Amino acid sequence: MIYLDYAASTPPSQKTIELMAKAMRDYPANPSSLHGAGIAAKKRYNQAKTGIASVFNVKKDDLITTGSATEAINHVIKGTYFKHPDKTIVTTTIEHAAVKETCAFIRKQGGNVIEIPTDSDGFLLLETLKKTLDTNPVSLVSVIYANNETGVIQDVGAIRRLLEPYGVPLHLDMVQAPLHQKVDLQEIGADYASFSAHKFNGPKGVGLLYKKPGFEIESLIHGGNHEKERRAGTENLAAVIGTENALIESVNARQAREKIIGENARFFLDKLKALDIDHRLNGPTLDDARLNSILNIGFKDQDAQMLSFLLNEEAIYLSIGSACHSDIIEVSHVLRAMGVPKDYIKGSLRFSLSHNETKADLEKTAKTIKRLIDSGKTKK
Amino acid sequence: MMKRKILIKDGEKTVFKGKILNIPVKDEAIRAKSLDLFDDDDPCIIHQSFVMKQFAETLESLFQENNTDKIRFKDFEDTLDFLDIEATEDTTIEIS
Repeated sequence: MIYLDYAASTPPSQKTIELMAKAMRDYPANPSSLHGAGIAAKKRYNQAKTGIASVFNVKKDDLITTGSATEAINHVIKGTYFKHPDKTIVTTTIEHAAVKETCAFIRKQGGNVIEIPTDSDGFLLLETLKKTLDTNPVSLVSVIYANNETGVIQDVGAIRRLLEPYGVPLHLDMVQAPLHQKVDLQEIGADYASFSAHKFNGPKGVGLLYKKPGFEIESLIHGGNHEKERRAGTENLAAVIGTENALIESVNARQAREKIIGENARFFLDKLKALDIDHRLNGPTLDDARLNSILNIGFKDQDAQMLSFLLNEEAIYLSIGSACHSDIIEVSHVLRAMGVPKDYIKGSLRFSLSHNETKADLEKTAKTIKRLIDSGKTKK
Repeated sequence: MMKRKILIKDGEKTVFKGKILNIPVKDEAIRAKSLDLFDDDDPCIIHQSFVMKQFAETLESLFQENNTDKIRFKDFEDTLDFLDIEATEDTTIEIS
């Protein structure tokens, strides 16, 4: 099996699994209970959260643990809308469904949402953002930091500087970032940021929301006073312990891992070229403002669904950016927003790499693609 | 696979003519395959499409394995049970 879908999910390490199993054995009590066992669980929970917060250079209490990044994103966007229903929420045309569909919900409630377009490499048009801020009362700007389909990294410093005079908070969907980049939220200057543990080798079912002190949003989940009354629900201690370990491991291994990923990405693109496969890398070139781990590649006049189906039959696993809407399969809204040429957009696949693949794996993948394309089976 | 065409005939009567991915497949076969693959009897369009490709591949491989462009339905009745056609002794399937 060749797994090239690390942007979709990453596996936890053995140590993470063991720590989680140990936590489930050692801390069976409810962390909110005021007895010895509950207090021990709460203490361990706070220690794990402190560990996570320190990686992001923020305080423990500025992090809210959620059930997913999607929940964290919903919390920020809906929470802002419920607080400021008459103001506009600004986002981009290249967001993950978590933002896109939450904004669609806001529109259904009668709220105003404006999507800022991008250039052909997927970078936000800052001039359009400025004009939007000049002409609308904006409550929040939500931007995907590193795009999940193309790996494009936005110029957050420029966005931040643009927002400052308007006093508008910035939410960053940072789901794809922590595995590949240092995430210092003070340095980045995010007011809100969303994360997902299983994207950095942590467990599924854990999201994190950073909320800068001073910004007020409505809670979405009401009940007990967990997470300082910002998100009710019994704390998932084992998963938070697993998240802390995964995050620390990802930081420690980052330099070596990213070196391999960069080399492998170059190797793979070179192989496609050497095999004379007509393709284009959607988004900026390698080592530009992008994650080298996510390669969105369009194959000319090919059908990506069929290509991925046949690659799957050969145990090569990857993703396409399409989504189902009612009864039709639509091409990726991200690639459409970037204006990827018609003859490449339907043949676009996302290869998301890790340090685990060998060059032989990538060569095999490139050769298999060549064989499938030459067979005519995948022609659009 | 995309460009392959299928012609299903019952004697001289054309039962289906079109792309292999559009072959008539029984709803219950789609549900059963979806249950088998995804444990989901109400698949979304992406999963339905994946299931259809599996059926198309099953059909295409029959021609390849038998090194022919034309087969008699009755000879592969069990394998082709997913097809939504009223087959007779004279039903043939051609690929081009």
